[in-house]
Amino acid sequence: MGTRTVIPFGPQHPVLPEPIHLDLVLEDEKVVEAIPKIGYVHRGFEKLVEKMDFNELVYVADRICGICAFIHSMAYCQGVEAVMSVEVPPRAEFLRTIWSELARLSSHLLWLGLMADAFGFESLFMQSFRIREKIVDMLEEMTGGRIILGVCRVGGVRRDVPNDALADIVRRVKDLGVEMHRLADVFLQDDSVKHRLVGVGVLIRDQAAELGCVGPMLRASGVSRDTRTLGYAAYGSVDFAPIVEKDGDSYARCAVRIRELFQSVDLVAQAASKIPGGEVGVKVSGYPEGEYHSRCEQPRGEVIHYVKGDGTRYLQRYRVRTPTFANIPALLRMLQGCELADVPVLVLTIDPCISCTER
Amino acid sequence: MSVFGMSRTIMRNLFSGPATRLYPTREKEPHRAARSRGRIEIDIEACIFCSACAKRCPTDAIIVSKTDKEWNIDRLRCCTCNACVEVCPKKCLAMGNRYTPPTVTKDKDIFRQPPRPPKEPETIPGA
Amino acid sequence: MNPREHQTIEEIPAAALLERVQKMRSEGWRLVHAACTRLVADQEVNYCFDRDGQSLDSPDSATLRGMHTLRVRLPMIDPELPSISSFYWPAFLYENEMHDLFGITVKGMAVDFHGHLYTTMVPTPYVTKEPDHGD
Ligand code: SF4
Ligand code: SF4
Repeated sequence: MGTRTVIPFGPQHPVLPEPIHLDLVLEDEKVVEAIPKIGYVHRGFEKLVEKMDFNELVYVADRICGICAFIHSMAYCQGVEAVMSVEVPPRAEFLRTIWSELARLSSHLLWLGLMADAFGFESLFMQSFRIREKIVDMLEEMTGGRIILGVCRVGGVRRDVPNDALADIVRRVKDLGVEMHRLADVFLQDDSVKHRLVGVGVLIRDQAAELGCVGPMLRASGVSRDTRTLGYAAYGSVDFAPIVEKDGDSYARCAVRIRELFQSVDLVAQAASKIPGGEVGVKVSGYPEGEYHSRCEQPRGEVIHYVKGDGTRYLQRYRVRTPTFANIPALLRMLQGCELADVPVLVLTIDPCISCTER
Repeated sequence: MSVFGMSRTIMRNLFSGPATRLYPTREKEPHRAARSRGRIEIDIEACIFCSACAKRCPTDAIIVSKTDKEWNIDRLRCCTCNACVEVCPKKCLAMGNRYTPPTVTKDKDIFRQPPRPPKEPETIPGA
Repeated sequence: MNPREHQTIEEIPAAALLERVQKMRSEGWRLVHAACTRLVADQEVNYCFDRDGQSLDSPDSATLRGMHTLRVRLPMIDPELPSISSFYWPAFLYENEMHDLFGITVKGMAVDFHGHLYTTMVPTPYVTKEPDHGD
C-alpha cells in the first residue's frame, strides 16, 4: 500500500467548466476517495423568494442555470400553475416543448464539445460548437434570447411563433441533423475517442438506481426512466421512448446523449407538426396557495421545483433540486478506484452544472 | 479503425470559410434576429414619467424622476426581460435588437425631456 | 391537456421516520429529494419518493403514480432528526444541506461535512433571518 496523498481538485481547474471542488485522496495514481465540497458559488437564491413576487421570480428561475435556463423557468411556471390550477393553452404547451427540445440540443452539443475538450480533442470541440451556434441562433430568432430565453411566464408563454417560421425552424434543424450525424460518427467510432471512454467509470444498473442517478447517467446504465414520459407540457402528445444504453460506462453516457440529439430533432418536428392554433397565454389573477413538486426532464436529468405559497404575493418556499445534485453521489462512487487522469472525464460525464446545484 | 471520420470533416472545413465572424469589424446581420432582445430604447418625448416601468422592473434598473423629467437606465443591471416594454402605458419603450456596446464604466444612460414651452398648451412639439 | 401528477403528503412524527422510510425502501420507492421549509413558528422537512411504474423491473409499464411525500414537523429551536442515509445513501447531501442552511442536527449521516458543505456568511440563513419582503 503506497502512501496517501490528498490533492485538491478545483474549484478552478483548467479542464472543468464548472466550479466543483473535490478533495481527492490518492494512492499513487489511483483515487481511493473523493470528498466533494460544494458551496463555492452558493448564491442563496432560494432566499430571494422573499424579495420577489411569484411573477417576477420567473426571471430568476430563468437565470438559475446558463445552459438549461428555459427548462428551469418552465418547471417553475408549471409548479405555480399547478398550485393556482391554471390551465395553460395548448399552443403554449407545444411551444414550451419545442423550446425545451432545442435547449436540450444546445445543451447536449455543449456537453459533447466540453467532453471532447476534456479528452484533448480540440477540433471536435469546435465542431460541436459550430453546430450548437446554429441552434442558439434559432432560439434567438424565435424568442429573442440565445440561452436565457425569457419567454416563459405563469399562465403561458410571452411570445408566439408563427407556423411558417416554425416550419422553417424544423427544416433547418433537420438539416443540422446531417451535420450531427457526422459529429456522432467521430464520437462513437473514432478509436482515440473510444480509448478514453470505453470502460471508464462503469456504473451497473443496480448501482445507478441505488445512487439515485437521474437523466442520461441513469439511462446509460440501462434504467429506462425519463421524466418526459410523465407527459408534462405537450410530451403526452408526441411519440417517443426513453433512450437506454446497457454498459453504464462513459462511452454509453456519450452514446445516450448523442442519440438524444436525434430524438430531440424528431420531437421538435413532431411538436411543430401537431401544434394547435390559439392563444399562448392566459391571464393569471390571485396568489398561489398550496404546494406542488414540479418535475421536468432537463438535459442533465430530472429537476424538481418545489413551490409552496401561502396566499400572499411572495412564495413561502421555493426549492430547486437540480439533476447534478442527484448525480453527485454517483460521481463519488465512480471516482473511487479510477486513475487520476480519468477524473476530468468522469466529472464531465455527469454533465455537471454546479452553479445551479448550489443555487 | 475509424480515424477518417474526422479527417473528412477537417478537409471540408479547410475549403469552406470560417464559421465565425471577425467581431467587431463584422457584426451579425441584424435581420437574422429581428426579435433579439438587445437593449431598451426610449422615445423620451412621449414619456409621461408615470414610473410604471421602474416599478415593474425586476432588477430596479430604471429610475424615473417626474420633477426633473428624467428617465435613466443602468444598462448593466438591465436583464432585458422586456417587462418594462410590456407595461408602459404610452408605448414609448421598445426593445431594440442591437446590444449595448461593451463598456468599461458603469454609467447610466440618462434621457431628459427637453422643457416644453410653458403656458401654451396648443403648441405640441413635434415628436 | 395531460392531467397533473397525483402528489400525496403524509405527515408523520419524527420518531416514526426511520420506520416509514425503511418501509418505503422495501416497497421499492426511490428518494427524489428532501428539503426543509421554514414556516411561521416551526419548520417542516419533506422527503419525496417516487415509484414511477417504469421502475427497475418493468421498463415499459405506463402506469405513473406520481409522488409521495413524508413530512416531519420540527421545532425552530434545536431541531433534530435521525439520518435516513442508511437506507438511501445519497440522502447525505440533502441532510448536510438541512444542517448547513436550516440548522437541523441530523444524527448518523453517512458522510458528515460538519457544516462545511455550504459556507454562508450567516450560519443557517434560512431560519435565522426573518423573511424580509423589502418594499
Ligand atoms: S412606463 Fe413608459 S411612460 Fe411611464 S415612465 Fe416608463 S417609459 Fe415613461
Ligand atoms: S428590460 Fe427588464 S430589466 Fe431591463 S429595464 Fe426593462 S424591466 Fe428592467
